[in-house]
Amino acid sequence: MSMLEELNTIVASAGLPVETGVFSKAAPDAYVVITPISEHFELFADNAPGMNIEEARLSLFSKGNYGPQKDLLVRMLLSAGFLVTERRYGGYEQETGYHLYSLDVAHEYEQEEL
Amino acid sequence: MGKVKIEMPTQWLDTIAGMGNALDAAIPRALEAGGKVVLDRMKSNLRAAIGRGTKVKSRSTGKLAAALGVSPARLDRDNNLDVKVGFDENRGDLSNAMLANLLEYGKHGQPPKPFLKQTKSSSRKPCIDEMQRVLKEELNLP
Repeated sequence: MSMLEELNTIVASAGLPVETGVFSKAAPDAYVVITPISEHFELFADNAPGMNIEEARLSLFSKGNYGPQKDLLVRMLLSAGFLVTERRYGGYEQETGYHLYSLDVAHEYEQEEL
Repeated sequence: MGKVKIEMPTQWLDTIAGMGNALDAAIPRALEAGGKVVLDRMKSNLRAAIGRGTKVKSRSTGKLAAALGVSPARLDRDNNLDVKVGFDENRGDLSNAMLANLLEYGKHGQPPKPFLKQTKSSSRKPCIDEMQRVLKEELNLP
């Protein structure tokens, strides 16, 4: 399973609508957008990469109390083996009424032969 | 605005610790070379992020990309030399840091374009390699 598939499954099972890149439907009171950040190779052997580290940002938009949703997401991500590299409150948007909370995650995957 | 730190490996710093005056002159050059690597990556990531996937035609003025730069090597409050890659603040109407923050983290209706995080991930190794290369050259190390 790829990182994006895994993230989509985790966020959906936390009960939050989720899309990758941009949220294209009519926005509910709380939703998550996943943005892939980077992929890089690590741990080389025999001139070939052994691991692929993928990073992504989860942007949680919520009109209400985002605390329990954020805590649940962090708990689920950690128990699925993700490294949470940054947690950041992005502020309250007065014109839309949404709070923004960003979670950056990383996961390493064994690199299959290219 | 987010802050990213790239430091030289401790083991490498230990090997050059006893080199005295030559080291004092070499470190600012190494830092500036490393800063330039990060600046180039950040500039390219920022240009790729600005105006991409906008709902209406982009009204970018180019001021944000033009304000990006690297400072000379200076001592920080803990007496460590560093260089800073960031935005000049003479825009007037809006803060460049605020605009960069909006691009980096997005908002409702505007997806994030994480150019800063991408820069951190992709420039860390080349930056350290370049600083080591310049230090070796300046200190005549093998």
